[in-house]
Amino acid sequence: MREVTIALAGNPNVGKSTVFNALTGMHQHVGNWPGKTVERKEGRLILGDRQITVVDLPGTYSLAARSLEEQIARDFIVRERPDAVVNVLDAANLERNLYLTAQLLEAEARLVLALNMADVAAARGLRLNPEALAAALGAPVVVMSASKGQGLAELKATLRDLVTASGRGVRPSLKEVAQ
Amino acid sequence: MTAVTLASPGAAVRYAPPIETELERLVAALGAIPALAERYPLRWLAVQLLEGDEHLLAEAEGLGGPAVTAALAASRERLAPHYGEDLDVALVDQRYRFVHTLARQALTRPAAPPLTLSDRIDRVVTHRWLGIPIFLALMWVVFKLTTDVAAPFVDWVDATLSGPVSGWATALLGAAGLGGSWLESLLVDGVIAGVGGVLVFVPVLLALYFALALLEDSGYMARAAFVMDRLMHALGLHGKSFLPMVVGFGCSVPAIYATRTLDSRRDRILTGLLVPFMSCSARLPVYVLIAAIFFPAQAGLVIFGLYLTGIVVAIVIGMLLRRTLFRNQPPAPFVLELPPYRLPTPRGVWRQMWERTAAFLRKATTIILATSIVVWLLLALPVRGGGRFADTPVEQSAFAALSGAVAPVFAPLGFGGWETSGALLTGFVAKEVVVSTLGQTYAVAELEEAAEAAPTNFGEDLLGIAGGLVSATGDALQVLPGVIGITLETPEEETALEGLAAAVRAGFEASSGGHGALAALAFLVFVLLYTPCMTAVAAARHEFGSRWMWVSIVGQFVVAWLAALLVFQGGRLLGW
Amino acid sequence: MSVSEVTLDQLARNQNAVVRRIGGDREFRRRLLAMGLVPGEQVILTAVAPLGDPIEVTVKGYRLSLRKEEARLVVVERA
Repeated sequence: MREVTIALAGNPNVGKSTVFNALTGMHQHVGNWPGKTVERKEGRLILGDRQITVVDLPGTYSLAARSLEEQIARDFIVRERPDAVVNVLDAANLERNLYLTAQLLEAEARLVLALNMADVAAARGLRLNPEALAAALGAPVVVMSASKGQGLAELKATLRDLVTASGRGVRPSLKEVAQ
Repeated sequence: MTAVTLASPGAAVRYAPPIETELERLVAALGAIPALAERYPLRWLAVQLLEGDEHLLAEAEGLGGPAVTAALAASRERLAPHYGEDLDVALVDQRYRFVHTLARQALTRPAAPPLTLSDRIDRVVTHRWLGIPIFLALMWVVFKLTTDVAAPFVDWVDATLSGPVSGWATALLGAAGLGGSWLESLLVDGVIAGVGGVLVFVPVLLALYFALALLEDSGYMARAAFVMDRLMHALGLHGKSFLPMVVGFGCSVPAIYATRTLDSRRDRILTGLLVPFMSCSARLPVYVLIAAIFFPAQAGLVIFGLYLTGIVVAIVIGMLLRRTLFRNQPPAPFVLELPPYRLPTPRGVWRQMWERTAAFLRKATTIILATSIVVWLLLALPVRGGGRFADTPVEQSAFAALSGAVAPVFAPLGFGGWETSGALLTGFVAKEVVVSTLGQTYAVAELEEAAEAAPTNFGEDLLGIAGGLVSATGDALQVLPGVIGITLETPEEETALEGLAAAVRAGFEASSGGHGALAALAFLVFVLLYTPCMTAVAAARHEFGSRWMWVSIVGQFVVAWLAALLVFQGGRLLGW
Repeated sequence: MSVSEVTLDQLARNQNAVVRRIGGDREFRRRLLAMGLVPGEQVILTAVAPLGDPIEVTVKGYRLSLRKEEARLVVVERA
């Protein structure tokens, strides 16, 4: 069975590492990106009979590759072509967060949107409409409050559907087509 | 709640018609180059090139040659009448329009946004008058956590390793018939001491990472940067540089790791290079000893002066570095999100403490263990006299020979004796041992109470270790009130060091040609400014890479040497 | 610069404005654009740091701080 890789992408301060920890539990490896001094976190997620590698990308506001962090995130998404990208967003600060989503879409990443910190958004009187977002983007949208453990089961279920639905998981990567 | 839409193609951003036309043309042109088509999604690449991404342009031109350059130039020219110089602005703007439409569908805002708790906290924390006192109070708490609260646990780790653990190792080797052999010495004085040198930092780092996790996860760190940026920017640094500097007065190792909170690599390295000039707490015993011997009346003033000297040197060196090594790297813009305040979760905090401390253990152990064994080897090798391997007086060891060989380097500074240069050599490994090395090299009776403890059994040892942990926790808790300003501490008893004092005084007088006090001052300045310890070196390598580690070691040595020279020779010129 | 156009650092506390242009080099401009300071966007100057610099603005519903020397490159129109 081919190894499935999922990347976590998102702005800083959106609770991405909480989502990462919740997905991978104790199965983590912390190192550095090759030749870089930026921390690289990788973990394993078992979904049914599949073992999935989850890579936590550095938190960035865009994929413009101005900083080392942005460059790492961009190269991973565009070059390594993970099977899916979980885009973690701050639901209370949706518009600026969606800017990265737009860039991820442009980079042809297969997206799952995790609207995190839904509790904070609710406290600010914001009402979310995940169905509309999912329909507009053509990507699954999960509403969650990761620090309270809410929405994690749904996120895992969504990822399971994604990796099992089409047999090998997801469309073949560009590299494989080229070979 | 999950909303899934299956099998629909991902909606991408659509740009204005003139841009879309050019994107199509560019995709066609780029698609003709197989190397590019294999590596990148072409439409994405075309957008980045139009937006003016220099990295990607260089790469695309490298792979595709002049065809890429020509196609891009032609597209830009056709778009110029529409957007002028602002094509990049137009692309971002149109992407944001797409996002704006999305956000409007996905989100309903209340007519009047409520004033959140976060807003209310912010009004206090960044308040014109309260902002800085609150910041300084929090820095004080972080400093206390990494020093006084961690200290009892540091002592406990130290006592456990040098007591029971060393005892067990000796007992095991004794049972194997290797008691008193060089192997025992290597294990106890080399390996266990080396491992101990790493492990004693664990409580300090756990305390630091606890504080950092709270500050970062709560959202305060960004406010701290906001409050302090003006001052730090004037020094060419970033608002976030302040915290590592404060932590540096406790210990350079956590301070170097604390530079991680800075966003730009330039700021991280620049701060990391300056942090060691903040006088760490392990240097204090050296100041106390030497100042008590040479300046008994003004010891407090001398020590305060040293701390101040460290700060001034950091500011001067910072300015120098910005004009030299970092000349081509302007300070990073301070474009910083101030995230809403959040309550950190205990699990998240614990995880960061554990992960980061474990990373330190993995990275630092090798280099520190190796250094520790080298020092042991130097001390064990007899080069003169009739000592045997691992059983030789200090003054006849390879260590003394090496100290003697490097001593002339320190002669112009007034402390060219092998005894002091030996202490500086071991001080490179850890400042804690400078005082005990001085005791050894000046051949005074062991300074540390040669704990010839009563024989114990394994069970008693375990009880002792557990009891030690309990009392360390108790001590740490006692310190906690001090963190918020109440002092319960009792003054430490001063040990009479008459024999050592006389030997040290005589030694400095001899090596300086009768200017002992001046030489002692130069020695203190040198101790203040050169490499804090091997662990700090390992931390610098871990965080910034080998190259910057060497810049740091050599730079600090040169600065320390020059400053000590200035003190000694300058003082002599002034006729002291 | 028209009468009502000023730079971002010149706004008074709690004053509203609309972003018109962003100057500075390409890198800096792209960075601010990515953070949501796009032409046509509403900004409010929410706070000034205790030492008078940097400043804090609210844009797209979140808080962003920048130094005055950087805010000088953002041209806004007072609302």
